[in-house]
Amino acid sequence: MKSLILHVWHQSGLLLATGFFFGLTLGVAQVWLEPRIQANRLSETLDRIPDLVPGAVSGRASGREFEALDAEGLVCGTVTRAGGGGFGGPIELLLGWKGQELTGVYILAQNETPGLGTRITDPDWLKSFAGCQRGTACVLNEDVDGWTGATISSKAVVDAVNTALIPEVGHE
Amino acid sequence: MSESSLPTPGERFVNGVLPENPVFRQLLGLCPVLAVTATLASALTMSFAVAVVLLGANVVVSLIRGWLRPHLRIVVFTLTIAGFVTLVDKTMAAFLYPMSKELGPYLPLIIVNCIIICRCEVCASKQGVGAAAADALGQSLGFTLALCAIASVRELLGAGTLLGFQVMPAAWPEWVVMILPPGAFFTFGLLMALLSVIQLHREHRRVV
Repeated sequence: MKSLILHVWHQSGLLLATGFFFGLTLGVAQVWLEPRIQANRLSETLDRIPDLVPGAVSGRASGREFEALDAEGLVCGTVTRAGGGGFGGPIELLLGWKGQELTGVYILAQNETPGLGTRITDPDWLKSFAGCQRGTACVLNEDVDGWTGATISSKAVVDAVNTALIPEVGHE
Repeated sequence: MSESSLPTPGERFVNGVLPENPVFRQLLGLCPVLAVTATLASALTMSFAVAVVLLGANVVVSLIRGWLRPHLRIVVFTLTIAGFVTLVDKTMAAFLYPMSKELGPYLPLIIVNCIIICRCEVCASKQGVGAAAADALGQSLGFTLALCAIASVRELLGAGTLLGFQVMPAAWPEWVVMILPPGAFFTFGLLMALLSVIQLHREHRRVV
């Protein structure tokens, strides 16, 4: 029995020791860095709020949503998250709302084909979503133009927006 | 092979830059070479991340080389590399968030970058810390040069910029194909051909 333990230690001791060392190091790094990573994600969202809701100058987190605040500190709209599946992976969006009206769209994360699918991040194209009303679906190539060479990516954004516009039904 | 018959730290460093360039001579780690060279900024960041991981992994493997069991060495290399890559990935997400977002999955993918495991196997598991560190620095420099060469051509022709600054005249018709994956293959192939022509030319002159 003793010789077996010695044999196992002789063979795998280094593996156990390096595993323990890196596990400990990564644990410390996680505790130290995670709050900063979360703060980066939050500040990226908050920085976008003035572009998403007209009249807003800042924002604050409120549960799962974000509230847009005007110059006097009053709530002038909300910002919600939405998501969908694109050509290269999940697409994350931020949607700005004023009452029932969609006022702005921003692509928070995407992994689409550079030069083609990444056109969905074009600010002018995203502006064309503004004015959609909750309860009415936004139609690709009617309300919003699709990108040539990025049909799937364009459709993914429109579907994600529609899921937010008609929460009960979801996209078609 | 005894340690004295292996290259010295100085030779290891010089070899890594051009004679044994990881990209153009060993054709290793081509995934990031093709994937993150659409812009010079992302190529530089990726090179820096690879350099940190390569240096860390080479030094650690060299320090523990006396205890390595031959049949378990690859597992220990992978564990060491994965540890350093996760550290670099988390640190970038905390301190260089926009670049970490741009590089996306290619940062964690450094774990499977064969340059690093190759250097652990070829150099760090056989030589002392000095040679392992010099080897890591030389190979990283070679990798950085290769990535920057490809990224400069692609960004310049594809977007008309370098590091985001406009270089080409405004009338330049941006060659979108250069930013797309085929552009990476074109540029890589042409640069390889150019290097081979230069080498052939030099050898020819030496013979004559």
